[in-house]
Amino acid sequence: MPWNTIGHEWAVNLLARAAATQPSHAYLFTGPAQIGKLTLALDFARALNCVGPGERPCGQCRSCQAIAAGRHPDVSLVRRLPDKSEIAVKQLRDVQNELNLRPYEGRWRVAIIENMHEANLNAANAFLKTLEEPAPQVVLLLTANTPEALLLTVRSRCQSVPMRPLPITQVEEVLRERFGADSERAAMAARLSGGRLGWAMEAIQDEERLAARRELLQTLLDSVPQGRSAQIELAGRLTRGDRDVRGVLDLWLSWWRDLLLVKGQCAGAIVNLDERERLLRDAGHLELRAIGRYLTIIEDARQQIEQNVNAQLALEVVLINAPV
Amino acid sequence: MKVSCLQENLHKGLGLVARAVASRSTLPVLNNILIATDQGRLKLAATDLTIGITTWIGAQIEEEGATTVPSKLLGEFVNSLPPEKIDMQLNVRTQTLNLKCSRFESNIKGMDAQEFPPIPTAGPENKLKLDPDTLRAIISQVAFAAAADESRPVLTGVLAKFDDGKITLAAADGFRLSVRTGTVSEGKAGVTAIIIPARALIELSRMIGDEEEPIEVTITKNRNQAVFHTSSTELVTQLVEGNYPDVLSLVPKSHNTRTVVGTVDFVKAVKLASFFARDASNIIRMTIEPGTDLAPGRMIVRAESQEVGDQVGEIDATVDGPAIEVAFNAKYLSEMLAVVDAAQVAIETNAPEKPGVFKMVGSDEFVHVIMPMHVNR
Repeated sequence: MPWNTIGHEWAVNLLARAAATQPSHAYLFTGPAQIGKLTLALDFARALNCVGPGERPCGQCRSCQAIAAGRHPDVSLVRRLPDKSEIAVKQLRDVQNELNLRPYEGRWRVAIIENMHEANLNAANAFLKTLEEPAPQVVLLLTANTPEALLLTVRSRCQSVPMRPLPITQVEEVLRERFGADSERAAMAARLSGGRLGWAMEAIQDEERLAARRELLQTLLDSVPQGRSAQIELAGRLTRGDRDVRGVLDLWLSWWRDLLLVKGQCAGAIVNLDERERLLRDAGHLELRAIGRYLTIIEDARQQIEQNVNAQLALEVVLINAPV
Repeated sequence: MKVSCLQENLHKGLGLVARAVASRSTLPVLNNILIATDQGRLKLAATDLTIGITTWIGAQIEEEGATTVPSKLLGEFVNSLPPEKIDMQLNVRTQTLNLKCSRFESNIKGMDAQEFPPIPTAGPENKLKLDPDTLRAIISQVAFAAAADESRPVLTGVLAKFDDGKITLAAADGFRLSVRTGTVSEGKAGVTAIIIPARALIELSRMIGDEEEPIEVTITKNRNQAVFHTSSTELVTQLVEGNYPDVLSLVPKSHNTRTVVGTVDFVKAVKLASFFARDASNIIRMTIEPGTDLAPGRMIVRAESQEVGDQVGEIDATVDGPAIEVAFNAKYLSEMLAVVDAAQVAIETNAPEKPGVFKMVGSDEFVHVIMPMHVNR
């Protein structure tokens, strides 16, 4: 089982060819969170330094195993420290110093910078020189959620590898075959994941995540007929502490999107499979237009929260406006 | 693994390899020291992935094996044990190393030796032999001039050039340049140049402290590492990637004024002046006046600061050429003088804004170039 990456065939082909010939000095993997960027980057690092015979990476040799275990001396992984909000200049400086030396045992020194968009401006600028002109035996692998989140100067120095969400059916298949999930749960998780295999794999192994989601959806749905004071109270509860307001809005958006799909006779593509009956029932007495309008309201709130609007107020507006 | 050795030997060996233990590392196993049986001896090794030190100590081996244990704990523990026999036994399943010495016994939790990155060793490639005294002198006279800041990575290293029985080390940081040549006592490497991290050389010079046997130098086949081998210890260093600037061509070929002064006098004068130079951008002015029929030549070493005051020192000099006044950084002068081991120093100058060349009188193996400082008159 050489490449751990599932799907993304064209990217795998591109990188396999590069590893066998002459890789570019820097690659930028972009795509939504948990789509498989880091998995692909690690695969590429293994392919570059694999010492096994035949197809690379072999997954068997010492080098492949060391990289998989995170203890290969020539492969370093830089990511935001758990107690920090961004990647610090110092972290990148340290890795730069390492990159000035020749490889310790492998063919290439590989530095993986996970979520480069979390590097602050100073850190990103400090890295530019290395990114433009690393030592000859160095390959830099950057990951980011969107290319736009990076400085233009960073983007332009890397070969871009944009990763698209996998087809839902493929995710479903992997969940069924690799994790032995029953088809109903696999279908549900695959749809919820939006093609992000990493998310789907976590969800299928974590019973609570799907249960918590169902519970949250129930709370939101219950609040709709209860009137304003209950809705405002709920908005307060959901934004208290460091609760994930974005997650709440995404969930709510998925529900209303499903309603729109049902209303538009596309019930086959819905995400909330487990609430199929309720969707069909609700869609019956709602107007297509009202659903459409409400989706815009949720989208707006999402964007406003990105722009640092008070999360509680934004959520209140969303809940109050729910069409009954 | 089941071995016994003497506390003195283990303590000495641990002290040697501990220099290469990573202080903070992303790989936890690098905080550990590798302990392994190796052809009737006990091998101790540590690496921070830039430099690696391996040493072998005499031991009685009952059962082969290998493990890694935390360097700090083991070092401190062994250091405090009485100078007697230590029995070590490894529990492979729990990776716990049991140590018994006199009436003390301890169990140290370690990590699997498989996780320890293999330290490259010298192959049968062409070996060079260097006299330890020469190597120590060369390193001390060059390594200090390497750049400390990492903005130009190659300058943090020392250029080592092998050329038919000769070794030349050179280091520069943009303001000064130190070059020292020595003879290779045995073996030939052809013409080759590598860049060795300055820190590795400083560790090497510490390691060969009282070594008397020649030091073997090998460059690995892929040119990624250099290996220095003494009778019982081996130091491996990663090489710096890149091309070293052609610093040797920067040494001025000619001079207008050549001044020879006594090293002791010069050191004294620079030291006194440096107290006053501290607050004045470290500027030391040197006024060189050739001798006349009546008076011998002299050099006046001066430093002045608006706040602190001033200081003037005068030393005798043999001056060949016209009078000149140049200013140098006190730190660079004193660091250079600290490694000079000749009775007299020659200063070759062209003009106040041109670099000054310092040599040891009676030897052309050492050349030091310092950029002058600009001062308003």
